[in-house]
Amino acid sequence: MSSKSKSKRPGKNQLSRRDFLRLGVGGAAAVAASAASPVFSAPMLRQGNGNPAVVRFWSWYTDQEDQFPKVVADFEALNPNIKVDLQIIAEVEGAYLPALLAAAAANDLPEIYAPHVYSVEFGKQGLGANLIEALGADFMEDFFPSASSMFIVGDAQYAVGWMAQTMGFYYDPAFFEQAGIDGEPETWDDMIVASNQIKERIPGNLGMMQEANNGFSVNDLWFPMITGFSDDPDTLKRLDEGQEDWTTQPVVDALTLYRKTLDEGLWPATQTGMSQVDCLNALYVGQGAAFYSGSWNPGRIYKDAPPELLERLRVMKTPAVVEGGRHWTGNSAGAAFSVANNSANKEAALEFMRYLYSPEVYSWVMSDSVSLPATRSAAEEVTDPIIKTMASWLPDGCRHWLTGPAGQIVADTIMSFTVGDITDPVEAAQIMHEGASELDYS
Amino acid sequence: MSQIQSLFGRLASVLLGSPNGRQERIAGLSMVLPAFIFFLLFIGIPITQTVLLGFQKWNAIAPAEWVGIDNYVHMLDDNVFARALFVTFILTAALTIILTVVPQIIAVLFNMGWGAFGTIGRTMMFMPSVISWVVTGALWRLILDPNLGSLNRLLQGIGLAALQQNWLGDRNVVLWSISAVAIWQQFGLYVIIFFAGIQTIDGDLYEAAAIDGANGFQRYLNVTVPMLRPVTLMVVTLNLLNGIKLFDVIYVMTQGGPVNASQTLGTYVYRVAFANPGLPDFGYGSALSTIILILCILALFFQIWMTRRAKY
Repeated sequence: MSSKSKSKRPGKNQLSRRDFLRLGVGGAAAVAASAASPVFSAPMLRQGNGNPAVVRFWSWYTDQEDQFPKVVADFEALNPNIKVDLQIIAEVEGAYLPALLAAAAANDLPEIYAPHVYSVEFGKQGLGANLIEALGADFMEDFFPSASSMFIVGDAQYAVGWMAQTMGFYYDPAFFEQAGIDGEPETWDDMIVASNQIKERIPGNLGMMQEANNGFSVNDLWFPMITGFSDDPDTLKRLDEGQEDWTTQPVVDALTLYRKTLDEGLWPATQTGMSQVDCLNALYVGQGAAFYSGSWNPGRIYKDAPPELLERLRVMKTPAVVEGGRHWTGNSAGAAFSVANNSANKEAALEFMRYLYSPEVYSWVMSDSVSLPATRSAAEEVTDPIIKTMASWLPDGCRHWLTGPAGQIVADTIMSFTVGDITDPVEAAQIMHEGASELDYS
Repeated sequence: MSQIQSLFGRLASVLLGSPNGRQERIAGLSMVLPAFIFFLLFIGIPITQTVLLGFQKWNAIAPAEWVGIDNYVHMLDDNVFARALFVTFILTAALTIILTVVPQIIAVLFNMGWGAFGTIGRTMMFMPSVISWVVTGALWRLILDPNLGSLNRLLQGIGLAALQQNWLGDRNVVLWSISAVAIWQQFGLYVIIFFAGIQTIDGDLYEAAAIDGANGFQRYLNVTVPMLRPVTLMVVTLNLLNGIKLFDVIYVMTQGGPVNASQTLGTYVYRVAFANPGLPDFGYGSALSTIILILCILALFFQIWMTRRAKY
């Protein structure tokens, strides 16, 4: 055989051009077919013949990233017929919500998921299970009402709180002492005086700080003022559900008080450029005296703050709107868990929920991760002094964010109010009302 | 039956040409086929779905409802969309002009052997462009922190405290800050592109111009600029597309704030689709995305038109 013919005729292990083309076309078709097939998009883990039931467990809660694996391992050891597929989706900021929405759009929510702002909406659409029905009313009794109210519609509850989110001021008492301030300010008026006193007596100090670079964080601050003026923790709920007008007097009063804090120098002039990280950094380096924020911070403060600050650091209640008034404090349990209603493994998910929230497991997770629990029994077990203090405020908890459709219009308006585009509280309330009244609350 | 055979025959001849060399054409098409299928599945179909979704109302849960052009009509009343469109145009125009003109001049200066720092200078300028937009945004977020950031501290240190700004929190300043960061990130890349383009210009042209008495500026204007036209067109197109799509650096630095002062079409689409309290509005988000797509297509047509015009 000539060398020429050799080059044209492939040997046993060589591939002819025709075969190569066939393979190419066949391979491309196979890729197309597999991509188009429903099997391609199906979850990787499912209950199969003789296989354990898989409970996908999704959140963005890095606070418990060290504790969750142990809880899952212990649970699986006790329940060999159930496998928990833990996913903490937090590598990229903001990645969780699109992932959850994609799962909801495919009607394939993970068996247990952190519902973010969608607990009620998913529940109303039949995607989230009514947990009062599924877990029983007894299961709910231990939760603080303010850690559950935002998940309740009528007789149904579509999520249970995981971490309570109480708001207050983290502060360095050394600055208060240096500025000659005795004790903790009682009202917002006292707070204005204290902040100006600190700024005056300690040059360069920013005084009291808040994360005011977005409307949702500003809501954390002024929503509890609404409850402060109404003395009714359900006011925000009614506003959120479109059952009360945003022009109601407590809203106008709260906006007036917030305007006062802006105009009379409670906050730094640069507050609209300050993120949570900026505020914490300023607290760490001694440039700020106090920072209004939530109970999700102690874990990271313990990791990042200088040791000498940790020895001094305290938290104080949200000030009252009037002297002698109740210190309503934002608490909405923004961290929560829901159960997918339509999953074949719903029962296995409920079993894991019962285990996760059993007093001994839940208390250990919360204590070990320095997190604020949403239940009374776990709150009693808290030993960390800052968390313990914040836990003591939970009976005064009120909502500090909205789950309904008005969230964006209210956040946009309060930011315009903060930067001074709108200065009249009545006008701001009217804009919120007009925007909110055009929305669909069904 | 014969009509069908004839139809297939004609189709085959249209697609594959004459029987001579048909095998090669089949081979060529087969090579392209996997890429074509990939493109169809992951780009063609999603784009088509997005355009179609722009005519629907869909919150990701309830069945989508066909609403015709309602989403586009809604844009006419949407102040945030108007602001986002305005910001997108301003940023795109500013970045396109600055990132086309200045890098070209710097590349010419480097080519003239401007100092012994040419290579070092080019390398230093190019380095930021290998950093991702997200990292760039996070880095500059710290530098521009109004209280602890190094920029304000530097200004204070050199006695220019009066120039300190709330760089990302002041509506009148935030777009300048973002533009400066985008320029810092992209500048070096375009210097390198222009520098490479200058190397392809025939040296005889400069020699002839010099013999004709042209000075340095005239040689730049009459030789360098015209000869760099294809490169300039490519840079303009890249800048237009990058400007229209600008998202990540803004999302990391300001999320479109304060009060939508830095809201672009990209960040607004994200807000409508994924960061909206309540259920998302994927229909409106898709309609907004379609607007971005149309703007990108217009930018490409502009490039094609300019390329043809440059040739003749």
